[in-house]
Amino acid sequence: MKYAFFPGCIAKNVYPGIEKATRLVSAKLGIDLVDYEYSCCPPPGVIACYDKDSWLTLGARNLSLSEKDNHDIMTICAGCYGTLHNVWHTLKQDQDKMEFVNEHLSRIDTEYKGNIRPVHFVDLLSKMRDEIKQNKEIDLDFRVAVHYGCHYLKPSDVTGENSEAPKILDEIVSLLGCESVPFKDRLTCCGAGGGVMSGEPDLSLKIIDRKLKNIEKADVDCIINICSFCHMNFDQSQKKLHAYDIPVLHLNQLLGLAFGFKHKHLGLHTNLVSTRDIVKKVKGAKRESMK
Amino acid sequence: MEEKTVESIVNEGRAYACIQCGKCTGSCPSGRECGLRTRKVIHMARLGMDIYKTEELWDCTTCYTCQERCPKDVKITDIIIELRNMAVKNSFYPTMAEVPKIIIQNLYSTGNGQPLSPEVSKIRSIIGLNKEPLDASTNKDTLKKFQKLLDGLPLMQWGETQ
Amino acid sequence: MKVGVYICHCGVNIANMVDIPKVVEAISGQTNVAVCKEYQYMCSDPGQNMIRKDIEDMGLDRVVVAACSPRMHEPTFRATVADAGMNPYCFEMANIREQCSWVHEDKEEATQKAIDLVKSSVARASLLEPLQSTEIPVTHSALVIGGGIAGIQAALDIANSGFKTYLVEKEPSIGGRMAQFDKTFPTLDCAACILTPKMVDVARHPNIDLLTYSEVEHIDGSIGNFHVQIKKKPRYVDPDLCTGCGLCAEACRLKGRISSEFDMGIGKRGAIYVPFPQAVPLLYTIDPENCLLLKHGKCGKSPKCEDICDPGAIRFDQEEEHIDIDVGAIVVATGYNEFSPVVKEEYGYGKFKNVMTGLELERIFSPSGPTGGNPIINGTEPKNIVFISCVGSRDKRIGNPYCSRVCCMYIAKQAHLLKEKIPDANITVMYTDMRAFGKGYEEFYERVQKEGIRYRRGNAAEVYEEDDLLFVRAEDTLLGEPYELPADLVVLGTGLVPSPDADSIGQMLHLSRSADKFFLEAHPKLRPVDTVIDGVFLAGAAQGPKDIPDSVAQASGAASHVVNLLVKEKIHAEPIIAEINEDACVGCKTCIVLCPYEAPLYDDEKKVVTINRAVCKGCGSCAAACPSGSIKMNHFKNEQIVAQILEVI
Ligand SMILES: Cc1cc2nc3c(=O)[nH]c(=O)nc-3n(C[C@H](O)[C@H](O)[C@H](O)COP(=O)(O)OP(=O)(O)OC[C@H]3O[C@@H](n4cnc5c(N)ncnc54)[C@H](O)[C@@H]3O)c2cc1C
Ligand code: SF4
Ligand code: SF4
Ligand code: SF4
Ligand code: SF4
Repeated sequence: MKYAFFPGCIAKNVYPGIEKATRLVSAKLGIDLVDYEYSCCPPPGVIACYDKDSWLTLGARNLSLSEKDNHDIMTICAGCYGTLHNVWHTLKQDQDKMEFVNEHLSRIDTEYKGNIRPVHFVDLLSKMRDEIKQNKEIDLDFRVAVHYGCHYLKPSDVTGENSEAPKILDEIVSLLGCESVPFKDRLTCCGAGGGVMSGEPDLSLKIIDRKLKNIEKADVDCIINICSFCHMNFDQSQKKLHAYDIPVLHLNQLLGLAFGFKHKHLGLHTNLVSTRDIVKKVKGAKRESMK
Repeated sequence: MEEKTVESIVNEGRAYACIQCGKCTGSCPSGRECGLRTRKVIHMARLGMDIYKTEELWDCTTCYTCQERCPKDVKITDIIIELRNMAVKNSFYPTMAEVPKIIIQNLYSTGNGQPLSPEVSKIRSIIGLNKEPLDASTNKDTLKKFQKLLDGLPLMQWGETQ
Repeated sequence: MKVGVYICHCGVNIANMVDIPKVVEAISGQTNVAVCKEYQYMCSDPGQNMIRKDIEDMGLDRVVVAACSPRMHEPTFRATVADAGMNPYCFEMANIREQCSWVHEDKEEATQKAIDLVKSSVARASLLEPLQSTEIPVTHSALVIGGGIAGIQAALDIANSGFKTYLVEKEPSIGGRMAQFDKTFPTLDCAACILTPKMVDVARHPNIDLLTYSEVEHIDGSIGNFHVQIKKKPRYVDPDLCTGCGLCAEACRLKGRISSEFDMGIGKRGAIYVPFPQAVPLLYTIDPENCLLLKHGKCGKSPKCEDICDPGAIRFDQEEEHIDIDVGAIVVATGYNEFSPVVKEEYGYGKFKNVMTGLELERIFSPSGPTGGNPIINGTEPKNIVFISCVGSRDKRIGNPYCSRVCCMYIAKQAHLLKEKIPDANITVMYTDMRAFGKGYEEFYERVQKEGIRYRRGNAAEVYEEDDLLFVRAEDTLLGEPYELPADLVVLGTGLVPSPDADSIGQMLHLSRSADKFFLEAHPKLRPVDTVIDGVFLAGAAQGPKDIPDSVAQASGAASHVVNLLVKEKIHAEPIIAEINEDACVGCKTCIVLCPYEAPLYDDEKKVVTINRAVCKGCGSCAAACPSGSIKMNHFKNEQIVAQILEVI
């Protein structure tokens, strides 16, 4: 199984542990990742809100890169997924926009045809439950708060997901031995998107403050996400708010731990919120499973 | 492609069908913390008021919860995004506009909205990744072409008018 | 051949866009045209008289009226010409309103189009053949499907006019939804007090044959002569012996173990049961899905119900019966179902136990309901109650764009009843718009407001649970402020959807459905109780969401149409039907496959198809498809249609 790998700015340039975890986990699961000269997705919050047509064009450039090799493109961030999937969906339906996009791409001798499909890593995982179980070396036994990321779920008529009662993430963490703990407003936005985190940091912090409060009440070991952007918001905001102490892991890092990779190889130590307790628990679990 | 107007945005996004039920505002994670009243945005837009001149328009996180729940299938978030485009086109930059400008600059010079810092580069190599990821900035020619693409896009024009 | 042509102004509807004198000028003098006149309103008395007089004076044998759609006035003008002695099938109508003046903006072009359309109608009229309608006898009895308040009212009205009426109800008792209520808005009269007497009247009525726990299996025939097959499901109880004492239900091994449909799953019953104490007929029924003996062949040592029944009414060997009846007319009153809110996941129905639907709450109010009428929800008396309006209505996303018309009012009723029972309760109604349009409704709304029910405009966004307490989020749109309310009971004002049986009944009777999936009436304003199928009428919520007063009114309307039909000894059968040339038919059966009405029948001996004239509706599917060209449609023969087309191309 071969996929064009779209790591996205944050996983590349801020939390490289996520990129690393993805590469390690993919290799275990038999997914070949191919790299291309991608630009930023570009972000829906800033670029689409400034000029949607430019956003479509830059997104289409990214999509066009693996098109010639006929590799579908795989993302690990709800934001990147939101962009690429939405661009794909829009251009599939809107002939005018498709023409606009290709007119511009032709200036750099590129063409987008619409032949490949963007997917989120989670969509692949949902079809690899057996492989996940086979590769699991440690039963993690964490209480986790899962966070889906708005743009993975919505708008549902584009994503095809059930936005009010999604299950996939809960199911995958439970395959790893974790318990997805219910908490208030578990599906609400983390407050990062739409340019709000960068443009109106105070508002963004208020939104995530509520969210963290609810998670704290649920008494979990960590937050699990499938969006590098949310990941960054969860990790950085706890420092900015000078409150909370809830480790933040991307799902791929959690998979990495369960598959037996060392936490340092997964970049857990580069988080702002310490992952010490998590690492300790993993070591305990490892000893358990060796017995 | 035809030039968008508030009217065309209202029609495309079905804002005319809104029954002012307020389900959107009630669902909005942002409106709980600030002055954004999603329902009002939709109403103002269909009345042809200058909604794109208001700052609240930029409080939306584009989480799509409102659009998801709107019983009348008003494409609320899509409308908000279009209205922001319109604001930008008409040079109604919100106070928060400075940050996006930096992101656009980064995009232009590195191909990434969030560029790589020397510190992270170091971390990359420590955890066993190549120091610099392969992307649009790796190869000079690729970056040039990318910049050429950007140069001709409306995005850069709006950036300049400010 | 003498054709008279009449051009209607339709007030300004046509005259504003079509230059009528110019049309008259263009048509006068055309081949076969004896006279061409214009008039303000052709359908008015003077307009019709003009036609009659010309027929008599000039001996016209064809008439063309250029006016509106034939849908409304073709019957009018056919009667007009027949009155003057002309064959009504020699009348032709040109539609220069819906298909011309209303849809164009250029007067000159519209005028030209009107001229072409009239010419084309003249050409067709010249080739029309006089047709004779046949007379068919009428069976003087009626079938009413569905025993809710609408079906009950229709059956009583028809029976009171002296006609035999079969009332078929699929549940063990008649009464429908209304039987589930304690009080009814806006008068708050006790539902049972006004419904039960009617139910009893039905059972006692000498002209009514009540078939409960029964379903219609098959219907064929047409107006005046329908043949209906009904399946009577076995109750496993002898109706002649059962006294309704209820000892069996008390004794049943499964007593209190099966969730009661009538109580919306809140109350429990046994395997032998009556849905509610006032049931009509008061006959016990064994539910074969659950009964130990019927399901597993064994109930303890011996079935307790049988043991205790003195009259010996239990009959485990009872079999289903099939009953054939003939009727002249049918009333469809299959009612509605409550919208199932599980798909509106943001409200948490099915997830949070204290979120319930309107119909479920009705059972809580009922003295014979699961809580004996006490306002106890899952063991406690609620103190903070939120009602949410428009759940599953006015909702395009789930495909129910219509307003359900009763929920605003039943919410008001239920809020009132709760306040009466729990005076210190905080009750808030979150609503989209308040629709209190009926007689006495606005006044009732005010009364409820006065009682301290808080109405807050803006519908609920979501319901969540925290520490065992529910919270409802909404925006108060009048304040422009989002807010949250704690609640120990959330009532969803669920809307109305058609009964699931509408599919099968609709197919059997070839009824059309409107976009909202309720049955479609023949005309939204002027024929609200008729369907496009002659002899089949609609009553109650089967046709669209309705309250009780409207359901009853429509039922009486439907009944009077039935009676209008049944008083006739004979009716005229439409001659516009398919005619088959049996000598040319090759017996390929193409028409049999295509006909939606089962009119073509294969004659095994002759190896050809014959057409059942009583059933054929003249849709033309067969004639268009017949590969050997053996089927001709009266009034729409190829030469008639071709002449019409040639004039416009
Ligand atoms: C919660 C709630 C509260 C309400 N309160 C009020 C109120 O206070 N006042 C008021 O005016 N209105 C009220 N209404 C509206 C009221 O319920 C309807 O107006 C009324 O029930 C319509 O009557 P009906 O006979 O048309 O349909 P139903 O009551 O639905 O009766 C239809 C009958 O047909 C039967 N049936 C269905 N399919 C078949 C079949 N294939 N064969 C045989 N039988 C079949 C059903 O079993 C049922 O008995 C309320 C509605 C709801 C949801
Ligand atoms: S949810 Fe939809 S219909 Fe309701 S107020 Fe918002 S936009 Fe209007
Ligand atoms: S998309 Fe924007 S307006 Fe809609 S709910 Fe989310 S933050 Fe609020
Ligand atoms: S009657 Fe009232 S509650 Fe029911 S759908 Fe109509 S507006 Fe909504
Ligand atoms: S015209 Fe033909 S298809 Fe139509 S009802 Fe008659 S027999 Fe059937």
